[in-house]
Amino acid sequence: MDHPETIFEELKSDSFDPLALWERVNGDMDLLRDLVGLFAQEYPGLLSNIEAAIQQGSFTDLQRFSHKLKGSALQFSGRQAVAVAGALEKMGATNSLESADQLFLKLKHEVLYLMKVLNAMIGLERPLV
Amino acid sequence: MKEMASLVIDNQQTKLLNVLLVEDNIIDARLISGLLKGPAEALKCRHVTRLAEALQLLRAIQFDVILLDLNLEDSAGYETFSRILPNAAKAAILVLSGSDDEELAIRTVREGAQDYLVKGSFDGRLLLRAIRYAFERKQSEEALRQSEATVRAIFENSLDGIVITEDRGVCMEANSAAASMVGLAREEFIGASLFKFAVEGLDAEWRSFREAGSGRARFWIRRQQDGAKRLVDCCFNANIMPGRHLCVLRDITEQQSLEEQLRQSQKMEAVGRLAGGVAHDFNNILGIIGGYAELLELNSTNEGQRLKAEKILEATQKAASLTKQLLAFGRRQVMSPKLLDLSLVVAEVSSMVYCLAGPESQVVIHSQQELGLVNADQGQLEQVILNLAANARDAMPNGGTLTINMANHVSRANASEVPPGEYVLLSVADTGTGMDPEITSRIFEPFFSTKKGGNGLGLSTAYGIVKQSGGHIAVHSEMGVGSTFNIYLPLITHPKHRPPRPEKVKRVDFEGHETILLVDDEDDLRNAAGEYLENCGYHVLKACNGKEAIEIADNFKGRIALVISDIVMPKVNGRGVVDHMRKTRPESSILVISGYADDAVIRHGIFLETTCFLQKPFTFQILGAKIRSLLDNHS
Repeated sequence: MDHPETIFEELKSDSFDPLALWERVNGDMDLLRDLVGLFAQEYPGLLSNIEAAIQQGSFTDLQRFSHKLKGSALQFSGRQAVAVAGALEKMGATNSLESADQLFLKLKHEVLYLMKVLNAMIGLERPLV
Repeated sequence: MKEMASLVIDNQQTKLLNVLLVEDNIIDARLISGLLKGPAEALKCRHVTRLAEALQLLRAIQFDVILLDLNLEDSAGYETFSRILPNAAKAAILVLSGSDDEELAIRTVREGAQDYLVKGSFDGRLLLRAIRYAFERKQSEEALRQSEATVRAIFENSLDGIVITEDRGVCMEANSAAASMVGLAREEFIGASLFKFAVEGLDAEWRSFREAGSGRARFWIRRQQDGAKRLVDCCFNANIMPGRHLCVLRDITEQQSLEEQLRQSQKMEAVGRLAGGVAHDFNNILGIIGGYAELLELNSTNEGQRLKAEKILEATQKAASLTKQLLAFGRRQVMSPKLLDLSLVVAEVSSMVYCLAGPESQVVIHSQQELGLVNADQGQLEQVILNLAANARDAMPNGGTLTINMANHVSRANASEVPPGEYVLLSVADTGTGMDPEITSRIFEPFFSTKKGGNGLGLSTAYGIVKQSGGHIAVHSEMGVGSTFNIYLPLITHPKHRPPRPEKVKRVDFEGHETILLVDDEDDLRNAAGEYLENCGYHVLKACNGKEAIEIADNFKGRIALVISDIVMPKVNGRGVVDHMRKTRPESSILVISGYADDAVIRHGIFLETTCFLQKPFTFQILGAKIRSLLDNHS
């Protein structure tokens, strides 16, 4: 079996830094699996809340839920997801919804991508999909 | 994982940290608790998601470290931190934030957070280290805070003045004791130069301090409030911080005054001892001169011889009077203390006081009603009053007012020039020339006189008598205004008892036929006294020391009516003679003669009635009267 770091290298992209994540969890696969499992439960709700906030024009909720999603994405080293969630958070803070819908779609895309590569990571003990 | 294990071992050697994680993001919470799971023995972590829960826990439990997310369900941003802070005075707070907000980070750290960590920027190792460092920093800060509080309390409450100056002596910080010393409010003192308060400048001391790095000096400062001069002892330490110097000031004005008084007192004591010793030796010589003069007078064959002998006797009387004053100063004069009403004593000598004062001066004598009684020797007190009166007269060459005042006086602690207690105060005041402080400080020294031809014994005698009587004497004088001598004698009782009237002198017949053993190592005195006693009809056995006296007494078959013995003698001293005679001839009367006063007699271990003691020099008339009195009373 290849060394995990070698395999993680293949997952590395502008959107995701698997090595940084692996280092952050101190190479603890069990912990990573727990975190990915929690994220899988959390992110659909967070995306829904952000979408609703945009639709309802609730800047506070937009700022709050974007910040929360950004925090999680930060821990998973999902660079693009962090950037887009941060932009939406800022829009909430500045009471602006300009291009919010497009940004939300981008966020959704990045989060789904992040989820996909995270699942790939935790499947290391099995062959990567 | 190996690095983590190493860190765990390190942590096991330190305190188990009680950590509170305040985080509403379950992923962050799981990550952090997962990262901290390794060192379970080093950390004990509690997790809450809301600020309200955190505050509730903090009221009940003391946490060492708080990991605080700022954005919670019930609180957001800086407010979260500001609400936690007052409830976590002893805990180290680490802010965890998803916002890489530099301004917020600086603000929270400035306000008391130990660190600000951005999520996603730390791993387990970094987090653990951050927690440990935060805890240690907080401990150090707490220790420093307590230390500062202690130093501040000492600074504020010190009775010594503490001043921190800059290089030129300008006060940068001062406690209230220091401000009080210079008579300013603390705020006024800060910013002022220490040099401003020094009476005679501080340049030399300051230079020396700065060069040596530390030092100590005494200098006078002037209090701004009332202009009073205070003597301070300054302990200096340079550069306790760069460009900051510590001066600890102690007001020693009172201490120095007491030291000066003590030195003066010790000096007077030493001079008194010396004077007493000289007087003793001198008395022996006077005894011989006087004795032979008396014999010459008794045996004179013509008027010319008698007159010459009389002149010698007069001179010895004057010399004896001087030595008596010396003994009084040295407190070695034999006292006959009794209860006295000072107003009666003054009344006894008032006519002499009027004479002394002269026609150009007015004499005012006043005594309060119900004056207390004192225990003193009347003759000595009369001498004191006359000495002071004579002194007052000399201070008023062109006349003035001499006032003698008597009153009861109660001295309370620190409120008088004498120790606490009840006294009768005798004041003798004049409106004369007065004295400067230097003369005033030496006025009681024997042989110190400002008068031409003065013997310098008058005031020293007064001093000795007052001290011997258990009292105190003080003088206040001002140039051109006059002087007041205050004599404080302990009040023994209120005047219920009048002092007993003096006994009438009983006439005695000096002649006798009894056997007397006369012991004195002064050959001339022994021979002269022996000759006088034989002339009076006594049978005299003479011994030149105690040993010879004992041999003579043991070999003499007849009755020895009286033993007259000196005290200080070679071989066997007076005590040995007295002890032997009391054992072998208890019927014999004893008369001890000495140039010292009764205290010296007691030091030699001879305890006698005062009637059995005669102080040298004495005239043979007195000796004869004393002998007759003793023998007649004994028989």
